[in-house]
Amino acid sequence: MSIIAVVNNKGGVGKTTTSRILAEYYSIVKNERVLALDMDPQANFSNRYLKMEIDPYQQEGRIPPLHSTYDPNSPEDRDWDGRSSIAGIFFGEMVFPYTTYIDTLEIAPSHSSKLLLAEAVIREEVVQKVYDQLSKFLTLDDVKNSYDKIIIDTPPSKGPVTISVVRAATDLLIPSIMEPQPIEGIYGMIHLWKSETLRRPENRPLNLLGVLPNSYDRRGIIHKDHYDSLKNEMPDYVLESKIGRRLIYAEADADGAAPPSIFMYPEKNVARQEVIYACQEIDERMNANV
Amino acid sequence: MSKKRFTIAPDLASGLRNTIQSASTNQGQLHYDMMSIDAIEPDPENPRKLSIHRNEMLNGLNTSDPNYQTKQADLEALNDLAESIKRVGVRNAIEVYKEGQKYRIISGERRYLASILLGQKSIPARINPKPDEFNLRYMQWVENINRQDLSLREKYINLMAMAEAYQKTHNAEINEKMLQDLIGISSSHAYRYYCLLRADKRIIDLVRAGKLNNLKIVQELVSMKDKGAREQIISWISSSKGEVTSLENYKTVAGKKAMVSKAISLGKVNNSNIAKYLMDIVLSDARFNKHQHKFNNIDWSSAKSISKAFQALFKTMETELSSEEA
Ligand SMILES: Nc1ncnc2c1ncn2[C@@H]1O[C@H](COP(=O)(O)OP(=O)(O)O)[C@@H](O)[C@H]1O
Ligand SMILES: [Mg+2]
Repeated sequence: MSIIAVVNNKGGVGKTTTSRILAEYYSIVKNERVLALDMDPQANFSNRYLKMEIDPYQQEGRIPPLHSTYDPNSPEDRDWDGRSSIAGIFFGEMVFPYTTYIDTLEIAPSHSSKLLLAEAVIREEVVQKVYDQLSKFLTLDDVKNSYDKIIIDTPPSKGPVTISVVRAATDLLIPSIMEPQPIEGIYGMIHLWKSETLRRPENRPLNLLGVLPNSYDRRGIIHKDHYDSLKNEMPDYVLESKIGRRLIYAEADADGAAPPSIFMYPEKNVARQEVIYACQEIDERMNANV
Repeated sequence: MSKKRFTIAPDLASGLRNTIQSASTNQGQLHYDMMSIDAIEPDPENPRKLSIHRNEMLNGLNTSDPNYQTKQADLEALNDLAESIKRVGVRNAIEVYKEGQKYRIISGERRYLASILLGQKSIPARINPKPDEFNLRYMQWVENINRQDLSLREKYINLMAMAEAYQKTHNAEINEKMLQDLIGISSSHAYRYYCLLRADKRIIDLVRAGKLNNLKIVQELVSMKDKGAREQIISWISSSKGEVTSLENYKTVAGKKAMVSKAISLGKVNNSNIAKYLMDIVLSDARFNKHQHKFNNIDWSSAKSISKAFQALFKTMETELSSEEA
């Protein structure tokens, strides 16, 4: 089982877009069993596959919908409110993934207020627990035996939740726009990767897939110059493939988009082609040891 | 018109390069696992020996124990450490290696004991390959050398263990330069440790007895040219009751041929006239009358002033007479 974490502490660089692409690639194109995890309180990733609800206690917050298996009349579900999120792992709750419109894709969605709570812990011993929680969950036999790929979308931060993701991951992907601000975010992530690399035993390395250029504008020079410059500093860790800036990605993000996945577009669609190319390159770079 | 080109800021660029470089060369360096306390044992030969045993730590100390004071102090220090472990956990993994059925501690014995005190079941530990004798002593040395509460006696034991191990594994004597490189300290500091290593048995006995606890004094003694004076000082230190913290007083007298003579008390008088009489007689002597001017301002009604004047007078006489002898 591979665990791909999509990270960058800058927002709006394409983490969620990339997470979607990977989740859909492995489930639709490769027909693998995929579990998507949304660790971002903003819940954008969850929103693509579930009808997230507004948190009655927090205007901005989102909570998962009632689970399809939930039966309020069953004595079995007496102690459960019928909603399950990946944030539950930080609070000792069970996680019940939700099914999606894609047969082999399931998702453990976000829960805004719970994730914000986990992110805000400061007491040292609690922080340490948060750090290890996700990797404990993902090494459960139930989880390991049920999925081929875990795709994790993360919040734009370097806080405890992101660290827990990095600790659990087998592979790290850093989407970024080729502009100064997002490139600084790359630096932050490379640092996290380094700390984790030092911390891991040698037989379980954290594979850095590299930087995936997103919203790439082939006409101007600013993206090309930054791409070349970055490639020069870290030649092994900048992908060849690039995701262009296209309306279609923003559209696919809208509710009721048709078709719902980029992989359901006609084969000769350029966006679909560039995405497939990127996914193939990522797949080739996957951690072979796991 | 040439187009503007963009690049990554130079410090960001070098930051990226260095971070990646460092990740690939230091992979796995900080890895640790939680290890059961019961699987771990202290190194019986760790020079940093605590006075206190595990049982005493758990069951309390016996007040009639001759080492009660030391043990009590060690226990208090362990309690302090336990308190901080309770708050933030063991921050740095202890270092262990496999020895038989157990994992033996390379460094972190105090963290281990404090965790036991707290009733912890496990502790973060990094498993090292079994170090050779020299590397083991060296790692303990590195851990010990910066400790404030480590006595010179303990440092000496560690240093000797390290030097002996070096001798065994490298078939060569450890020298000053090596100490400097190994320990990463200044050359003057390394020289002091080197002096400690070379010190003869009599000096080492003083270190072991706790009478010398200062590396600088050891260096002074070892490098003292005047062997007679050195022997004299060493025997003075051995007969001193407590720790000697400075050689200053000893050095001023030890180098002189005449060893400190017993001072003679000239007694007391109640009648200030006697004092004045004596003073006049002495100062009228041909050898001393050139010093008369120093004694013009005595207040003969004040005992304090007279006593002071006599001290000065005796000093003058002693100088005058000793220069006469020489
Ligand atoms: N390649 C692209 N072309 C056009 N729009 C994009 C592209 N990638 C992302 N977007 C849009 O940019 C916004 C931010 O992207 P998102 O993936 O949510 O970033 P992040 O998760 O890093 O915050 C979204 O509205 C998304 O639809
Ligand atoms: Mg996002």
